[in-house]
Amino acid sequence: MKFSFNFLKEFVPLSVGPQELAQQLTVAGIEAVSLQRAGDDWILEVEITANRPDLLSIAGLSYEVAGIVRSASRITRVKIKEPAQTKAVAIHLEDRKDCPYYRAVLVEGVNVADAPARMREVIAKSGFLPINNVVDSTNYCMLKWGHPLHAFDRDKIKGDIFVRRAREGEKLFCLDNKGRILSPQNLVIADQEKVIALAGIIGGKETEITLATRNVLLEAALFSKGVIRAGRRKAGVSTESSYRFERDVVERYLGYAQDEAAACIQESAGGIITGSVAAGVLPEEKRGPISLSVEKLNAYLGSGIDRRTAQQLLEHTQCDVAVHDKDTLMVTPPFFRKDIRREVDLYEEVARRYGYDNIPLEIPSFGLAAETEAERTYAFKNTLRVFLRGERLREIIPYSFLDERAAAHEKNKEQLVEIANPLKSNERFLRTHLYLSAFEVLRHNARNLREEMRFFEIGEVMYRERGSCREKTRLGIYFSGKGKEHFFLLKKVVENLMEVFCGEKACFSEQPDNFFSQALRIEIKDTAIGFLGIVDDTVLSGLDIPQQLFFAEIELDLLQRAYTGTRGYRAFSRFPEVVRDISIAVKSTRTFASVQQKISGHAPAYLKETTVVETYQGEKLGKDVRGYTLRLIYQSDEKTLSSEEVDAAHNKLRAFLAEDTDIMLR
Amino acid sequence: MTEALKKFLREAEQKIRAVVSEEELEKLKSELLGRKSFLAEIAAGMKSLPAESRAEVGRLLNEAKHTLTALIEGKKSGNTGAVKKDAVDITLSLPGQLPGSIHPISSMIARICGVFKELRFSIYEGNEVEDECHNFEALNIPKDHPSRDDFDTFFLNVKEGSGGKFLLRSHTSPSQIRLMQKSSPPFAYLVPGKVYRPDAVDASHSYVFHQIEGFAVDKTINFSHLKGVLYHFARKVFGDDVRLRFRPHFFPFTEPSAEVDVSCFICGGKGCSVCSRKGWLEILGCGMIHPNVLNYSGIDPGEFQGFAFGMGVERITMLKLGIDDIRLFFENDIRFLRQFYEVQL
Repeated sequence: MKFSFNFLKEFVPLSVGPQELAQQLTVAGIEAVSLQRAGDDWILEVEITANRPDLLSIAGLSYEVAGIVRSASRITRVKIKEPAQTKAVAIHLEDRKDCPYYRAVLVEGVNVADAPARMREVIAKSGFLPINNVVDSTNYCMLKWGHPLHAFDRDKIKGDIFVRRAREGEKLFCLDNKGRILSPQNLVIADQEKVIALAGIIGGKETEITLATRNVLLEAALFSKGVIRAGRRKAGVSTESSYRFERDVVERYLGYAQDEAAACIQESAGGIITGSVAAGVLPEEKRGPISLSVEKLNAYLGSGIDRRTAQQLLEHTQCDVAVHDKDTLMVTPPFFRKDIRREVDLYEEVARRYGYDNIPLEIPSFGLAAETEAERTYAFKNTLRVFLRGERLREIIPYSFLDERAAAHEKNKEQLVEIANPLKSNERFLRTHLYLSAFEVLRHNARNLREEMRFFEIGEVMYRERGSCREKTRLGIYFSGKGKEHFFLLKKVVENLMEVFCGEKACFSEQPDNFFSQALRIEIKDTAIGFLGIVDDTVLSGLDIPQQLFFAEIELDLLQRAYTGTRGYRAFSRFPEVVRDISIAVKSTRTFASVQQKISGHAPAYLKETTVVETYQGEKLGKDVRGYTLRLIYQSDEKTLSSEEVDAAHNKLRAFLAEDTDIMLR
Repeated sequence: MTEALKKFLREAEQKIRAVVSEEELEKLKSELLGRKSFLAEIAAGMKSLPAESRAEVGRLLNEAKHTLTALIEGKKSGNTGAVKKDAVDITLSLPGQLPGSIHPISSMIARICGVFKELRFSIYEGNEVEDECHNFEALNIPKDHPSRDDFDTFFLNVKEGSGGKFLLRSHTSPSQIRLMQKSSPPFAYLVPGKVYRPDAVDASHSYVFHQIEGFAVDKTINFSHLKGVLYHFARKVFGDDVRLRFRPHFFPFTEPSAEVDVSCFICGGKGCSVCSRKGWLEILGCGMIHPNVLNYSGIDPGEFQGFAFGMGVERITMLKLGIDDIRLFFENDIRFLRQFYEVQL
């Protein structure tokens, strides 16, 4: 809400300057967002919160400011002689819920011209474009009283006034020079033939006040807040009028505004008020007093405000206050403060006037509470973050909506959840996999690549399941590298994670997937908890990332379930290790995992570890064969192993491997 | 005396390094170690020194002679210092191998959660998919009310449930409702998480961002507790000198409501470009939980009262770290991410 400081001053004596007033308004909850000099005047813009529609008028502001600076508002209504009931036009209200009350005043024989300079100045400073003496009068009175008005060229209206819902496909060319096609969602003002205005939002061009207008029909009405809101959203236009109607208006000011506007038109454009006609009922303001317990007030605020002070503070906000008993005040809020409805609203009024800064500071005590499951999960995520940082990964938080291209990678299209009102029409899916939202980050960094990409994210995926939307937290890990062998860097991180968090090695088994050229399922304690893989070249080809990508995705809840937390000490063997190497050549149709399984199935119990120390492939070995040098570490928990004992077992194992037609000893 | 000796040694080392010919080196050797050298002078003056410092000076003198001799010999054999044959050039560094990093938003959330844990708030992360009922109605934001304008929301194309349309939460407050519905007072919760609003992305807007919501309910929780808790928070996050300003405001779900400003920690409140010359920075909204909201969640407002507050994590992180564009958080440029390493989490 923008207004002229001098204009406000006409209605409330001010001993403070504009800067001081702006400051005090801010502290009272009416934030001054700008203050600009305009000649010998100042233009102040304040932010009015949705609960204070009364402040969208000079009248309301004058009362508020009077309360702040301990002064009194001098705003008064301009009274006109009650016009005679006219029979020239009748008002028909289709639905009293949409429009409870409508009153038209006729001013005839006007001479449309520029409004007086002073009126033009006042409205211009509030951000209205001066148009002519009739329109400016309506805006001036809306500014002063907060009630929107509209002036029609009476002679362009055919027959009676109808306030009704638009019929499907009806049209209106509006004052903003835009044609609109209407539907029953729109409440309109119509005459016998056509729609002449979008009720409470914007007028029609055909009935606008022009230099040729002789007779004016001045409208003041009440419209349903919800209908105006829905209508202006549909029409895609917000006006000073719709803004006020949506937030609510003060019924009593309807007549004040309309009468004063009629008087202004008469004064500035000549003509005479020839009659008025109304339909519906102007609701009565029935406001009983609200009781306020000073003891409860202080218990709510943690303050020590006495009854007298509370009373004075409320009187500063134009409340009518009576002392009921030692502790209780009976408070009747002023008619324009519809936001004060219950005792707690009075607490706010008192606190606001008393000054929030004058309420003391205290630290409450909540006693001891057991750690909840949610807290454990939150702490677990941070443990994971710290671990992955230690593995030299960087956490990322990408934008999580998917465009068509990313969503196309989801195999189960029916799982995709779509946003009904997306910001950009192509970004309209929620991610079903974390990695689907990581491409943009990978692409961005690939452009400026200074280091390998090692990223992780802990985030939510959403997918459709049995008609409703499921949400799950996952850990995503994204690596890049020049060759496919970089996959093992990612696998190492996953292996370390499993061993550190779950106290045992994960099992990996191959899992085919279109998105990945090769992928492994990760199992821990017999539960599949995720996968890792090499992103397929066909996926890469559209990405503009000149590297191989390797992704892993793990279900957080399952990982947390397998998480052991702090583990106890496990005794380790201090007997010497005996190390033996085996060189083998294996047909490439056989996986290394199967060879390893074979070894661990037939080795003595004291085979502690099998590692690959070298792999090779080449002419010498022959096609479709891979060579490995394995290092077997033998160590007993009970005794020192003799080399004879180990050699016997080791040779038995060699012989066993040699039986396999896919394996050759070298 | 020892200072002068150290200075001499430093200068002598530089001179030895600077020498390029054998001839010069010989000349320098006699200058540094010969009979007329500084060291010789000190040795000559030893007799006059008090007994207790004689030993110390003697030791230093010997050390200096050894060091210089070694340096000169090393220079002769072509090395810059006394270097072993199989030594590596330890002035080299490996490329890459940089430490990892935690996203600054995660770090800030952890930091703020830590502050409130000290006050015995319990952490809870709610769901991002919510329904109209929990995102609006339960929070005293009726349909077709202008206060909904501040909470523009992404709706999902999923069949409506008993709580109305499904949506992506536009604030963390729905979790407040869910927690109040299932817990009985006294309680104090802190809810960090992602929220979504259909705002076009620019330097200060993002359609996804993070909020932290906190609330507490008990028989005697009051506005001064809210002030105390937030003051504790502000001091821990912005520094001990920070001042707070509570401005009356309107939120549908609290009454009384306030917006909270901290004194600008850049200029100390004098006014600078960060605080737009106001001296204050708005950091959060708060208030006493509206009786309608308590009622909705099955808590009797006649018996219990509570406070609630909510803050934007990006805003606080931007202020704290001097970040001027919210998009940096979601772009995830390595050159941005590598700058942040919070030791504690």
